[in-house]
Amino acid sequence: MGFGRGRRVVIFGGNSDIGRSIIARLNTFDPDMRVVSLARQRGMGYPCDAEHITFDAQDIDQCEEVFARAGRLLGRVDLVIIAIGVLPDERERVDISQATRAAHVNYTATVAAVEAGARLLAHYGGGDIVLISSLAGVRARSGMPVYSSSKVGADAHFRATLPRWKTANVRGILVRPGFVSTSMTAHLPRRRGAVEVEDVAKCVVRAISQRGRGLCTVVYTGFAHRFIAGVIRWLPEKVWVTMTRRGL
Amino acid sequence: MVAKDSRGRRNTLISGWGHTHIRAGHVLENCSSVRAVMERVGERGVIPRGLGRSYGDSSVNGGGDHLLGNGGVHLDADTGIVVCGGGASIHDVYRRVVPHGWMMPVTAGTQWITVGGAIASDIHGKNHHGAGTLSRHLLSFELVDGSGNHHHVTQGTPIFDATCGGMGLTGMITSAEIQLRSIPSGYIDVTTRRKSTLTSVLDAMLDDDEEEYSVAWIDLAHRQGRGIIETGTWSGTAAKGLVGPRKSRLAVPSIPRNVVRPETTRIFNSLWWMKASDGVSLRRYDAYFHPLDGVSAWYNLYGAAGFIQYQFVVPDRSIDVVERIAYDVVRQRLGTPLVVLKRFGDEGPGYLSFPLRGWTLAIDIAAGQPALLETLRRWDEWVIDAGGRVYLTKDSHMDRPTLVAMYPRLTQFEDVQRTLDPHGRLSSDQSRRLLLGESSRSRRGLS
Repeated sequence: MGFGRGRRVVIFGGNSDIGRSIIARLNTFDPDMRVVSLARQRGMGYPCDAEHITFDAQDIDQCEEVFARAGRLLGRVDLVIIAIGVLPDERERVDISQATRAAHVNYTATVAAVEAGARLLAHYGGGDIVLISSLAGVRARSGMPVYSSSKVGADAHFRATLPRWKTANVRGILVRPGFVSTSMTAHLPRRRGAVEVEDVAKCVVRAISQRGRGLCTVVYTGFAHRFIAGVIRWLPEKVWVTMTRRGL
Repeated sequence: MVAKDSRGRRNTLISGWGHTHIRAGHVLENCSSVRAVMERVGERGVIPRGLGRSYGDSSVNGGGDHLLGNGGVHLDADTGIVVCGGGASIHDVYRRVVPHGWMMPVTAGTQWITVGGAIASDIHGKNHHGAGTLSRHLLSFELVDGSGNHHHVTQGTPIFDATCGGMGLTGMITSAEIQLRSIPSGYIDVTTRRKSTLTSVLDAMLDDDEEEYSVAWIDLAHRQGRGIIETGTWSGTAAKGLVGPRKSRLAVPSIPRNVVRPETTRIFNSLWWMKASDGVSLRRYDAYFHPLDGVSAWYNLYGAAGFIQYQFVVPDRSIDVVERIAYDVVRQRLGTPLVVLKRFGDEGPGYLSFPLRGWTLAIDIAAGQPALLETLRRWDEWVIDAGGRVYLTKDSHMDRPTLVAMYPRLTQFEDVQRTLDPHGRLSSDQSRRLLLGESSRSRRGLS
């Protein structure tokens, strides 16, 4: 890739609303970009040149091989976007099989994808890896223990593994949106301060184009979310548990 | 460990001068056999690399090998013929030849480029309207192609024409023989003229074709696009100053944010304008030819996002395109302190050589501005419509159709390139972006 043109992108979770929105926004600045989408099933088309590889996030043993195949299809890779996640219904008692599936996708599969994505970028001389995390990834919540703890784990792994890839020129963009109106959250009541997928895409594309020299850029959808993340981190445990018991 | 590749070699971060495209790769230096390097090259290929002064991704091969040339400068002080290693810098050449009263016939904006890189870019200077590009003064060079075969290349051959301006994609230049020009002293008589509008700068430069050196700095933070024209001739008053060039004493430290903004540009340009005064002055050759070398690592001023340089040339009849692009910069307030206007003479023999008779404008622009790519695309269309082209050494944004439209002799280049690199071993990120030598690579099953 030269100066922001003709990017080669691998997106894991190619049917996710946020991932699709990021691709659409990138495409407005870079019509020559090419995408390989990794997803369980072929979704709606992209506005740009795109190919699809059928891949289930739970099939982690195949992760590295599938990423390498995506790289071979593109010839080189400049950007890897990991946008997978499952939001189990945790309002009532949690179903164990549903909980373990969510934990597997949100943590284990994400870890595998981050490692495979970073390795792929390193092979082609480096690039950016974007992980769609969550504001829930800042601190585990009593109201959604499975979802938030797995997001906390994946978020922490992402930040911890990036220094190992420094000399391979792999830089990370960690996205922590708040409540985003997507098909995944459609069954939940809309919350105050909820953002649209386009807002997330705008922030991510800005972070990609104005990449700093740091190893990991943390992106929030607005100052309010950044402020809330700061507060969440320092609240006493007792206060936090009380606040989040009802699914905050 | 991730710091090393699958062949156990350490990665190094590599970029062009604009720092918009940073990739990890491997640097191969002090190689005794270029042939052995070519035969052992990995999946990502190899690109010859000099001192990394090309602005975009032409000397970057992400995940692949970067082959540095060896130095060495040997001068025949009687004839002024110099034989240099492909990895010798122009600075090294100056140190060896200037004390004997000889000078490079063509010099780029910096002395920190290698001879091999200068040939691969077919560099031009402030005297192109009279002296042409470097290839006109290049007697011969030695080339090791992508198969590891050695060629002694002279003027008037297809390999010569493909290699001069060929961005290193025909092979590694191991040495070159250049005819120097004699100089009476190490000083230039510089005539400075300030013009209050871009139109008056263009009019004045039309009359400067008889001057040996001619260049103008344009202030595009100013609504009228005022400019300072500098013409120069070698000072023959005394054989003084015949010494090697100075090294810079100042360096810009790493700055995370871009400080080259419209506001700072306006202040800088106003001071630069006020500092200049009409008249004749005596200037050392290195200060005249390479003023930016006075401060090293100046790319840091543009912050982490880096910068690009858009340098284009249009024929004489399309002088309006120069004005349209210049006023587009003024209108968009892009913050461009470095804008340089030059006249070009006749086109050279290099298939991908940049210059053609007309006007060239080089504009440094901070990257990371969201609408910038759209702007560059618009300018590309204007330049193509005018029958002009963008300099590949400065390019970091073009695509294949743009390249095809700008370089009519591209097919000839690719025909020769295929014979010199049938296995597709020579590749850079730019060549992959522009699909240069793509047929060779696809034969290897790569893209």
